[in-house]
Amino acid sequence: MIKKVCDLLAKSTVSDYEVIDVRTRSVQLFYVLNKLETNRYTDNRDLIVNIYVDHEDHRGSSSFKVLASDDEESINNKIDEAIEVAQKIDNPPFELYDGDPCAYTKIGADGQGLDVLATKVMDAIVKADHFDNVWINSTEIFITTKDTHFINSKGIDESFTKTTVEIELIPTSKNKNGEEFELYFDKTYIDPDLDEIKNDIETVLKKAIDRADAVIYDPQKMHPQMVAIDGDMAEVILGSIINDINYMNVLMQNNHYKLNDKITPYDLSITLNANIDKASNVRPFDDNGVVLSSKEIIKNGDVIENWGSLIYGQYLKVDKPSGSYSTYVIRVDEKQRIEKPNVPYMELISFSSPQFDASTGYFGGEVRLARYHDEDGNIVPVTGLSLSGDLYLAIQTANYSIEDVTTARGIRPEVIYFDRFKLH
Amino acid sequence: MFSTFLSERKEVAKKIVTELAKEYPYVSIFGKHAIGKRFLVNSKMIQVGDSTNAMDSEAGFVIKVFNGDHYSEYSLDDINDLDITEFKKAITLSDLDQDTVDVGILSDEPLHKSFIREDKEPLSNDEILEKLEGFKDHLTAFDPRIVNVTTIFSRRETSSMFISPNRDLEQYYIWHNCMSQVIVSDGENIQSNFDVTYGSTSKEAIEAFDQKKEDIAKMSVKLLEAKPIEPGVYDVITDPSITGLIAHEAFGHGVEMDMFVKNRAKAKDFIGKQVASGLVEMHDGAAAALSAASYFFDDDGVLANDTTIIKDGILLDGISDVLTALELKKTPSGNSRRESTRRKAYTRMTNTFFMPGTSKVEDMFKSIEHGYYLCKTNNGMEDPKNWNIQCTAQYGLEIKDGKFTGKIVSPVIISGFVPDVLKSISMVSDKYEVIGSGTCGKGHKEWVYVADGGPYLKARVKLG
Repeated sequence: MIKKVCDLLAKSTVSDYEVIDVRTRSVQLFYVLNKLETNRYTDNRDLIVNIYVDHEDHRGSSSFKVLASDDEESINNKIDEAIEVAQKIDNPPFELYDGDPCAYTKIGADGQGLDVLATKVMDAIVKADHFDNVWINSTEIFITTKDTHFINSKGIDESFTKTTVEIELIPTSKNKNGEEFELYFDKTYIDPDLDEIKNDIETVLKKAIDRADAVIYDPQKMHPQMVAIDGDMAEVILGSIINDINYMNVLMQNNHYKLNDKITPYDLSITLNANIDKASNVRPFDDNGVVLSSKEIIKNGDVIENWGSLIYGQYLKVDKPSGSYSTYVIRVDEKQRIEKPNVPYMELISFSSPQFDASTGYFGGEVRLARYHDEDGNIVPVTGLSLSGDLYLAIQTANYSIEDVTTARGIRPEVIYFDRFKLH
Repeated sequence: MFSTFLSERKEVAKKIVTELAKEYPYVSIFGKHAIGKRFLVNSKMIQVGDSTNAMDSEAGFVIKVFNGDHYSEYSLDDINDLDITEFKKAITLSDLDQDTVDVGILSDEPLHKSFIREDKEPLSNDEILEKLEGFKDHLTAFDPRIVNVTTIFSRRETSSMFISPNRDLEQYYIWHNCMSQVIVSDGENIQSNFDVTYGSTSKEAIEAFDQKKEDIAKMSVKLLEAKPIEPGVYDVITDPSITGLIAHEAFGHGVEMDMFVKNRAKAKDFIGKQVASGLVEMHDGAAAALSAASYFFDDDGVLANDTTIIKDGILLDGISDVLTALELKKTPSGNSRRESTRRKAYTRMTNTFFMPGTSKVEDMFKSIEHGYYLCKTNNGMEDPKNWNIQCTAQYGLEIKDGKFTGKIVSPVIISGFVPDVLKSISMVSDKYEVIGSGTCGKGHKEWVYVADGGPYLKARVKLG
């Protein structure tokens, strides 16, 4: 189909075009408690067309989806309508990607049927479910293979295939009074080792046990001087800083950090990188076909480059726009790394829904589970507390764990320690 | 009008259903053809095109069968060339040695209906772009501290059909939103203000925005004065959007009865019990209001409903998808919803709202000694198992001795134990609005369009 659409576009009056064709096949399993309720097989295609029309000093654009309902006549109609719209749009001019195309890339080799892999993953999950007073509920498994094919009018023709394993489940625990508590687990893997899955599930089940044993936060008795944040919340925090300096935010004047601004007084370095094993968001090229490799954007705590889409970069007159990365590597000065705080601290394990306001730097939310580490090394599971503060201030005095972790979005210090957030 | 593509596939669907019904005790086919169009105008560029998300734009089918043991679904773009042998192979798990849920066969009562809700005088592409340009220019010119304005118009057209041995349903409906994001900066602080209008016709959504644009501009600039709130417990008045957010997060998720089946909702044990102030009446249903989640039948072929969830503060009932209703031996409430045909149907909210009461809004403000008027939904998160909620309002306006002090706080997080929040409701306004512009996920995925709202409420809650 993609070739047919390209042929029709080539015969039209468009100045340029891009076509992205994604075929997605998946096996999906849905459980109630640990019993299978529904299995699904999917085989779908998304074909997105962007057309560009040059007129005077402007370049107008419009986009449409080619659906299963479309035939040659309706595709031609969509092209004609898109041209009519684009002719009236006076956006600044820009060029499409015409660099070296990406060689075919395969991310996550399946090597077996998707359904066989799905049942093996479920077996690994069941094996992890062996603790007292805690169990797994509502497991959902998605084994997905996506074939992405990109073609543009500059002759770029590139493709990649990615297979991922996504697991969502609800670890549930019971306390001595018979009350039940839940946490939430959702992780996407590339090439998972079944032991890795089992270990991850065991870890979250142990957290759920703590949730059942948690006491209500008492600021009279607990005096944390720092908070430790890891997991999804650490991702939100670091991702927010990276997103802030995206071309789109700069263009909309919605960015807090400007070029050469100092984010931290210590060496914090962030490199966008498209070649990270096990980072499930990884992709070799972006939606404009730009081949991604690596790009340092923050060095020694300073913003040295903005980053983002080829088009927005050109709107900002960036010489060589980076492309839209989805994975990164974060390095921090060894002096900021600590084994653990030498003061009482609160380890925040599960938020209800962490909130970040990029405009103000506000970060906060309700904490469902924390662990209070007191001055004598005792650890008490805690609930019933909220966090709030200004991330832009807090990041300036943050410390980081010695260990790094690889997540869906890349490599970063596993834990961030803050001394400027309020607990209440 | 109803999709020609689906019309053309109806006979094929019936043949497949007949063929599969020879082997499977339950068979149905749900087909959907949706087209989402988006117009974006801001100070730097214009973008027009189809929404790329399958939630908005797709043509696809779900074939659902029961094999006597468990349910299976096959999602594909077109049923025209379906190979029955390949279908059977695809839905058969080759290495299955697991317990399955004991459910039974879904009912298939005879029903043949066709529904339509259209925009009879749709605005043209040029008219929409001209209106958006006008809004952008008006907002930009309001104050030099407004540094960027984005205005967006979206149109969602949905056709779907449901075919089973005894059912033949088809529907077409449409919904529109007009929204803006205004960025303000005084050189030191940056704030962002988001607002939205809606309508079943394009003119309705655009005209509503036209009437609101002055207030949007004023509040955008006012947000530059916003400070963080001092955490504490306060008397509050909620605007209809925050009321809706509370309805959605506090009890909406908690009465999605697939959570009952999974033993994940505390509400299961509270049916027939007092869970809120006696002033509270809450509804959900695609037929309960004309709004963003109004359809005629759901994604498993059940007609839309209006479910009374709470009346006089007593929890009466929950909402359900077909499988959940089957497992609970209930009549399904018409709440089976899918993000797209590529995803499973779950029990999902539709239009969820509190009913109006008798208090006058001005009397409600006057009754506040010290508290906040909480405005504009930002987002929220539920905890049906333990009844904790977290809702974020974009801003709050301070009230002292019944009058606004001029002080603004932003953002404001409301948290607490659901029955404590709902039982603290002491006044309910006679005015109400169902806001037709939301989306909702289940866990961190499975997005569907929802609406929520209600009257102004006076309550006492923890803010942070």
